[in-house]
Amino acid sequence: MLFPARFEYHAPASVKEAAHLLHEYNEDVRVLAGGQSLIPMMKLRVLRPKHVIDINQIPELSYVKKTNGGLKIGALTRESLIERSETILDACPVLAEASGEIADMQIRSRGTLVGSLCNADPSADYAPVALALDAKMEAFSTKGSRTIEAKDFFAGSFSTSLEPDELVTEVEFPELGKDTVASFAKLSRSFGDFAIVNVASLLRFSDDGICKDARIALGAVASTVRRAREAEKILVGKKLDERVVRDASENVTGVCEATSDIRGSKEYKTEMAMVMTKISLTRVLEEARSRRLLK
Amino acid sequence: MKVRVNGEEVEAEVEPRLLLAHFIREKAGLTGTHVGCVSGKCGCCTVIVDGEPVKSCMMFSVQANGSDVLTIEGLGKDGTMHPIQEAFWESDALECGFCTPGMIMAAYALLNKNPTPTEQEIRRGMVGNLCRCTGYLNIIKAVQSASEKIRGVK
Amino acid sequence: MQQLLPLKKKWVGTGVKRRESKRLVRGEGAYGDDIKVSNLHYIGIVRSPHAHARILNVDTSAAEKMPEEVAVFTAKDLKKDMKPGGHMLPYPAPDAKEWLPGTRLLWRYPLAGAKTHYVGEAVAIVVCKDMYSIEDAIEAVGVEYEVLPAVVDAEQAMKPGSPLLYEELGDNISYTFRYPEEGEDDELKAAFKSADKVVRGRFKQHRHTGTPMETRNVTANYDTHNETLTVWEGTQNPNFLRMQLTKVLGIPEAKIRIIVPNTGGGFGIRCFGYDESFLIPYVAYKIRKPVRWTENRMEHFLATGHAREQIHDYEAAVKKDGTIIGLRDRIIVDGGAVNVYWASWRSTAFNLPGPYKIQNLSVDLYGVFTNKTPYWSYRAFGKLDADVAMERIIDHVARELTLSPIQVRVRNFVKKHEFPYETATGAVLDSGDYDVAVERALKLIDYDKFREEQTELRKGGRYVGFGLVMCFEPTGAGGIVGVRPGYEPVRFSMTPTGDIIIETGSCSQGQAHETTLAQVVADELSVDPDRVVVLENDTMYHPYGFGAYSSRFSINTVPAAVVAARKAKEKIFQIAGFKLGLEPLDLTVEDGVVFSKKNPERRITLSEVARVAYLGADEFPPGIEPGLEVLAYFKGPTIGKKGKRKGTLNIFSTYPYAVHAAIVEVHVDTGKIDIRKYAAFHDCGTVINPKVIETEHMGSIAQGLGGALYEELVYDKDGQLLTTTFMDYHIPTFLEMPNVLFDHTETPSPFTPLGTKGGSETGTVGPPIVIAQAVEDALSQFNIVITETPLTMDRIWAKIKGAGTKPH
Repeated sequence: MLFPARFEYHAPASVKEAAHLLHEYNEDVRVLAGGQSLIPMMKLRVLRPKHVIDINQIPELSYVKKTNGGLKIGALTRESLIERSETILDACPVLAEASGEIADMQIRSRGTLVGSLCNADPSADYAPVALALDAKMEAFSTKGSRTIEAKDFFAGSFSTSLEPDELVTEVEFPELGKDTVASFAKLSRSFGDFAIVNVASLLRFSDDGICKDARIALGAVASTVRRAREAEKILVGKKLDERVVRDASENVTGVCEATSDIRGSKEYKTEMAMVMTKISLTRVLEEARSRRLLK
Repeated sequence: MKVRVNGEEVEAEVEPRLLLAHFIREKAGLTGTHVGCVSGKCGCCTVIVDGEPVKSCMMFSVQANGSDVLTIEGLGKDGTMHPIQEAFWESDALECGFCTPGMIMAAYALLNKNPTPTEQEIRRGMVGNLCRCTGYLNIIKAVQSASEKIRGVK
Repeated sequence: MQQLLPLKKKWVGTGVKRRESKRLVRGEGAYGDDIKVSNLHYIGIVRSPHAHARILNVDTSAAEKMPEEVAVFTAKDLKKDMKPGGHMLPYPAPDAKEWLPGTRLLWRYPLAGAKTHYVGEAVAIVVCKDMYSIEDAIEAVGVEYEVLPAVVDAEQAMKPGSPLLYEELGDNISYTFRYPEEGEDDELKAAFKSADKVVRGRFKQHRHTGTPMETRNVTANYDTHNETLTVWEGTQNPNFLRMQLTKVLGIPEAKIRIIVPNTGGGFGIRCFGYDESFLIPYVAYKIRKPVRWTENRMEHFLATGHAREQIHDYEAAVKKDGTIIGLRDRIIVDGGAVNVYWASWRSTAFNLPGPYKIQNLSVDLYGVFTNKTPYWSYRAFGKLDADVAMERIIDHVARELTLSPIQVRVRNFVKKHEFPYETATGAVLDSGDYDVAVERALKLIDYDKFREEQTELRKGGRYVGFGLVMCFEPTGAGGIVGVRPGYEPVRFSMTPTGDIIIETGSCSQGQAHETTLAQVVADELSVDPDRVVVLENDTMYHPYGFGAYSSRFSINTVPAAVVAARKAKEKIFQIAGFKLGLEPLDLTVEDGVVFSKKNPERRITLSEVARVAYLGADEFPPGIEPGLEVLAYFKGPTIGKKGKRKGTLNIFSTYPYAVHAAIVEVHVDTGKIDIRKYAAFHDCGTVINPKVIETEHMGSIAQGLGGALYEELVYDKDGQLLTTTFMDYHIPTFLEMPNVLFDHTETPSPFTPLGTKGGSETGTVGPPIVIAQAVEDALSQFNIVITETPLTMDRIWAKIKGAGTKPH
């Protein structure tokens, strides 16, 4: 058996109360949402917080709301809901797609989107989507709330720009417009495993079929999720076709700082960043064609 | 804390670190829920909490305070077998049986959400449960057969 | 004798539903951790975090001061109370040497004393009253180490100047075996001289293991009232463990009781005693309280046996037509830190020629100590390793001679009319028809159609390939495991009301022994299987059997049950004959009734015979003992049979086989292998229960696929195991297991009464080799040769990259 070290358990009934507890215990505390990463790490005693703040007793944190041009998702919204939420499937299907790739049915029925983002595992599946789509996190503390953009949120491996007493209460994703196509592609040793490489791409097309905006976010190839800006530059201003896709894909390796481990060698991961980017962009290309966005 | 396990209230004073799996085994005395790993990968400890399938080693028992928990022991009523249990037996969907309770609970959750899963939907839906004896193929058959039994096709 | 054979086979060969499953699907199985014992105390084990270190000091004071009543034991305590074991724990001197030829003998205790030799080796034990305090108590034990350089590569470990695990030996060699004993003979040398070609190569098989879903678990209690030590452990051979325990603890064997609970899979890794098998009973004996240790999955990867890691450097002398006229193989086994399972390496050498007529052979085998978890037995122990190497050698020969791999196999096969066939190493192959199996497998997978498809798909830039291999599986080991258990006893008894009880010292980890033994005995006595109760798993009652490994059940236990039932039948006929006033020879039995063959009206029920046997003192014939109980043994007639060549003998009873064929697609951009079609055609002699066999085969194939594609125990250079959870050690899931086309034929073994052979180990053998061959075929234009396993995506990708040829 492996059992966690002892801790004190708190189950606040409101976000305010949670923030107070976080403020009070500051460094020695962890927020428990889905717990599907936290609990195993506590069992392995990699993490041994003295205080655990369980936000599961704040049911009002579980929601998917459509706003003007966006989607707001609460901190307790489970991955299983994201996977099948009509609102998300309609407004931001790529998010549901990434959700379906995570672990398994049971893990997804506890795990939360916000929890996964806050855990900042460099090979987790939501982070590339959040970065490519410019998601915004709502961080709350006793001092009030602030919005953190995805590009500023992921600080490193298992590390974010959150202050120790801050709690993410909500994440906002944009609604993908008619001119926009996004895709998610993941390579893993088997279904549900952490990614060897994962890629989220988002492209916007002008009325004349030219790519006017491109975002490619790569996971698992560095200490944190990265934008492949050189590749994006190649796409912008061009009419998308197989050749452009290939050119762009071949220019993602600059952001790769992969290390060799049991999921593959450094060289393999670096090349897979290209391969998976190509797959992701090819999916965008195909969908753009079928939606007649390329003219 | 109090949990309703298979309809019966179980009350116990627990350390916060006690995992739900051990609450079920040690406090409720129901040893059909097995613990096979530490990382939430094997699925042997799968139970249904308030209608949702969870791995009970991935939840602190205090989190289930006030919840309804369904375990393998609660599936068959009065000594009869649930159609999924019957199907597992008939389809030879087990050998050593250690993964079986978790497997059956996962199948229960899957069939609740999707009463007529395709082979691929079964494979994807149950990917969180590992089996080392059967090679899964008979389990797929069992879930298909259970689906038919529940719908009264067979 | 003819009279004693069953009149008809009603149950053998029938897919009877498993009786065991009924309780298991309800969650009513009682596995080790489910056994309820009052006043239970819990054990945690302090394990070495270093691969190689001197233990300078173990400070137990902080743990002992914990409020939760913690007791701590270290190697010092063991030395006072316990005898050391040999590396394979049961053998205290002086009888060990002759039992373990070739082995470097060392003595050890189940807790490390002066040094630790691998990460995970047990250093101290903590005993707690509260289950959840175990980890806290483990953390409270302070061990001071002086870290030493570790060696994690067997070839490095063989070099002079390598760190030494056991300084007293002067090197790291743990075991040596040579065939022929006196070295290479003239015939072999001549074969290499006359060869058209000599094919040389190397094949490396990686470290992986069985990892059943239930981890290990030991509960022990010393009952002062009966002065009996009771141990609950899911071991694969309880009687053997009892003997080991008596030797180490000094408690009389008759005062030790081993109960095997429901066990969550064995696959060989539960064979024989582990350190914990001795430690936990020791603590119970010491503190006079019931104790339990439940392994966690991380400990499992560190402390439960690993397997398979071997290097083969081979040279084959071949004729142009593909005939292999001579073979040399130098085998290096990375045996890990403790010399436990040398027998499986011996098995590799013994089985190297497999189903092929290679009479000129030399094998040099070295077992090597490294700072890694000990090498254990794992499904198809040592035999798989031989088969994998041999099949790869055949593929290499085919490639060099530009012949088809199938052609080379068929060319070298032992032919149907040549059985029984004695191999170079003294194996007596019992029966088979390998050529037919190849034909049937080709049909099963629709080979002809595939070649057309392949051409089409290649045009579209897709890389699909075909593989076909022989899976050769010696079963029913006896003769090399130190003891020579080439036999098995079964106790048959019929109760006075006519129910049948079968007791066996075999024990099941999920193989449906209860169901299948009942089928066998039901046929023998022509009764319903429901009337047959099978009892196993308690040394207090069952006869001294040798447990379940090497498919011994269908080769030793089933035959013993048949022999017992037939002996009982003889007595039944004597009693019935006397009652009916008929000659016993005139009688037969069907559907629970004994009757005259000439006049079926003259009849008596089995229940009535049973009543007479026990209760009717004046109703049975003079000179016959009351009761209906038989203890019968079965020993395979060829086990231990001396071979033509010096020092050789046969060590397996039967030699079943299968042919696996696969069609794979390789994605050249990612190196990913998809299995498009998989077919297994097998022959394990007479099948008792086809459903049981099929399920076991599928599981066996899944394990083989895991080993071929995903599962790998990876160490870093310092000897840290990097794969200690299912997140890292990847066993196949629902999504990795392909559908399998499955069929079989039955070539009964002439050496078992029903013709049974070992059931399903062939499944594990096939995948690594059939996929390797199919990948090579798929990537033929890159000239890729698979020389090591597993075939992970990054390895295949690297091969393609390294080939330098751009796909057209």
